[in-house]
Amino acid sequence: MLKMKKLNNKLAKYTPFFRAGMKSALAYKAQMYGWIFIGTIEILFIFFLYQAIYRNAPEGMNSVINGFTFQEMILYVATATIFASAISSETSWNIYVEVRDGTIVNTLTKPVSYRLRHLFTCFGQVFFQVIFVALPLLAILYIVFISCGFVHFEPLMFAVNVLFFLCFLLVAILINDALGYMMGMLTFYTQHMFGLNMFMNAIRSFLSGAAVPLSYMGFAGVIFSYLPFAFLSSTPILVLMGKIDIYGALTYLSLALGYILISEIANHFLFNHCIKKIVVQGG
Amino acid sequence: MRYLKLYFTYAKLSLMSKLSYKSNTIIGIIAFLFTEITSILTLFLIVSQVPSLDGWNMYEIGLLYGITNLAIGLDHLFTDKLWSVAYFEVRNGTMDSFFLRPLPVLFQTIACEIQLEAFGEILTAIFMIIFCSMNLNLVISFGNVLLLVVGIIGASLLITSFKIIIAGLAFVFKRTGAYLQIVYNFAMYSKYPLNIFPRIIRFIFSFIIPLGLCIYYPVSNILNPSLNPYLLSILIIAITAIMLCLSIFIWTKCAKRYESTGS
Amino acid sequence: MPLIEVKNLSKTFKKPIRGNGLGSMIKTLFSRKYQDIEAVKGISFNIEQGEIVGYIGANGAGKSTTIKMMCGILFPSEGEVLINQKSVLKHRKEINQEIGVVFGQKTQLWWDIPLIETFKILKSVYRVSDEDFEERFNYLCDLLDLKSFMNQNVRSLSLGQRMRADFAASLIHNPKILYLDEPTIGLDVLVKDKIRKAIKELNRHYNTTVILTTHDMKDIEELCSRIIIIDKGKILYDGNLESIKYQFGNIKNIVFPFFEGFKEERIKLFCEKITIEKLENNIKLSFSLNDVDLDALLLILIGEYKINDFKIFDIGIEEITKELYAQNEETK
Repeated sequence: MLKMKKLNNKLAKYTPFFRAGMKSALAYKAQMYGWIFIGTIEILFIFFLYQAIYRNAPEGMNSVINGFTFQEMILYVATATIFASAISSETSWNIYVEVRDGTIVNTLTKPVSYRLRHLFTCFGQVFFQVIFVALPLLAILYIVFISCGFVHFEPLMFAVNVLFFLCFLLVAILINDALGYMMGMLTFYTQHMFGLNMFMNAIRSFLSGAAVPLSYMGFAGVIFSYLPFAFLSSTPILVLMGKIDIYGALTYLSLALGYILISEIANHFLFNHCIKKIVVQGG
Repeated sequence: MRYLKLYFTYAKLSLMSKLSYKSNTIIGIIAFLFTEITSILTLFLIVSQVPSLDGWNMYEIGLLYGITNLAIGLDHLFTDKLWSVAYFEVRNGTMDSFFLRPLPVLFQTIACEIQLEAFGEILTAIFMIIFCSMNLNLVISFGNVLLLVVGIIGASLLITSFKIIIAGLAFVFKRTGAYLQIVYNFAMYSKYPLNIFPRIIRFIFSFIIPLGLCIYYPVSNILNPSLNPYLLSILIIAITAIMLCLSIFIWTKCAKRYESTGS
Repeated sequence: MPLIEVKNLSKTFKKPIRGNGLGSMIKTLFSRKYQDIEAVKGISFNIEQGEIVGYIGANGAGKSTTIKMMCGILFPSEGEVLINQKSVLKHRKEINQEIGVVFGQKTQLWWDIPLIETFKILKSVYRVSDEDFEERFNYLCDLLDLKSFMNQNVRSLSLGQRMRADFAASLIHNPKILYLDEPTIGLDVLVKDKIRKAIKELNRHYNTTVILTTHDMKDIEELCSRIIIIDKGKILYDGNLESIKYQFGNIKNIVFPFFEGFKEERIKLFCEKITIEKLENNIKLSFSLNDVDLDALLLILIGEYKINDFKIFDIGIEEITKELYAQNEETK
């Protein structure tokens, strides 16, 4: 009990950062509406593209291509788009701004962990995105797909899938933020965040299976499914769609925890290394 | 003539400042290169599932994609500053110096930046065009090539016109970046063969954002001649000219409302 | 015929009202309210060729807003600005040929390239002939001492160097009018002096009209023949410097640290018209020399209280505006 209380106190000092993250997500709401609109257009066009693909496939609209029926394919793409916007965090950008403006020196003098500070800011931002945007949208999406009979549905199985999906959502947030933090550390060396972000987004969207399911990539796809990127899109969505069984899900979950542990250790050393650069530059 | 000379002076200065941040420029080019490569790979993975997509084989789709990207890349190379006008330059009041020089504001906005990052797009586009052309039997005639060149330049100028209009509206509405993003992202889908889309989308790309007219029909014609290339060229030139004049008109009207920040 | 005519100029900004708490932020998701802020309220004045006019007021009084409307980069809510009887908004390109502008906090130089390139491009932008360019370039280089850093990148210049360069760049096309918005802000005394000398010299040599905003009383004293004082968007005073100095120049302030045993009553007994203010750990006395014999007051402070650490200074621009504002209210 006492230990719990101590931990509670320790975490309590990070709640302001959680709130700040939430506020920053709210401040960008105008852009958020814009992105929802853009995402909708994007899904619409991908719908047309896949419609054409299935129309031209040997067995027509009822074909199963790489394990996906047409309806499943659309569900996958729509879920991937929503999922990506749910877990996106500003960590790399925030670090970049702090390094560029030199305000990082102020934050280093405070008795809070730099990593945890950014993690809680990210939690605040993601909390808003998940609760107010992603989950409602996903709920609507799945109610429509299930009630129209587009996808196979068993209540009990689906409930288990949703539970696992929520675990993987947390995993995705942690891995994504760890990657963002690593990217942020790169800004100690280069100032071109826009380019770095874009480069990273391209690689992430391809390797995570957000652009096209990993099953389209043959053997390479199998390898990619074990990389950390897969947890940012492919694995969580396949779990939700019931395409990964419980045994598989547990295996992936333990692999993900391993990745999180390794990346946080790496981040710890990376930070200690980068921070010396500031000291050497004299601010 | 004077403006052409001035343009080159501005362009030279822009290149000089880009070169003073060499690593940033290189990262930028690589970023766009990678974005293009992954999206081409994605397209390839999807399209290779079927032998042909409503009559278009993989190389034909690749050619269409490459040519559209060339037009997009050219616009990106020359008019990238319009993005920051739409997103924050007007809002932050950082365009003061443009309004203090005895030159058209639009000229200065466009002339002040050459965006080398666009080479990420241009290089992949050229690669796609060459690679796909070698695997196709193209009907090459003077008319068709002329049509293609007119189409690429026309499409590029059309994208520019839309950017000018929406960025220009920022002088009145302060921030129009998100709207520009919506129209731009929408326009990007003219990379795909128009006939796979429903009629309403085909209509939009032929008449409202007539990028399809500039690229889809000329590319169809070089694969399978059925239209008079000269007539189509004239049509493209006329539409592009109208759009460009309209956009300059809207920009000039809106720019009169420019407000710097108060302090 | 005046060179610049400002007619009934007004500017109202719309500012969104923002709450602080999380709850009110969520509220703004759905609706947003705006508040009108009147920065400038119907001001008018004329300026003749060759004048040096100081345009002064406290922070947020509307100085920069007015200057920006006079340059044509801020769309007025009402009224207009005419230069040579032409509206600055309708004839922008023509007017720009006649004006030079320096904003103390924003540079107009090309940031990432050598300074000399900025001058070269400005030469072609303003269509300055080779001979004119040669003459003015050398003149400005000597006047402002630019030669030593002409080939350096602008971003590597110090603030003082950059200001001098900005100043020269705004003059390369021989404008009739020069607008300076806080040209000496953040500069050290030597650079300030150099810039002031340059402004005076320029006005003498080319009869350039100069309008400057500043917080520095010394700028005004050394340069301006006429000052316009603005507060809360309205003109409080428009006239020559001498008469306002005569009106307020007699006001002195004395500041000394607070100490045990200091009694307000003692000072009041000496003269009722002394205002006494407590500022943190200091005491400030303000009074007019018309009412108080300074020697006698100092005798009290030094003789009775044994104060040996005090400052005497003249009234500042903020106080002058405060006084003027108070007088205005009284006469109403």
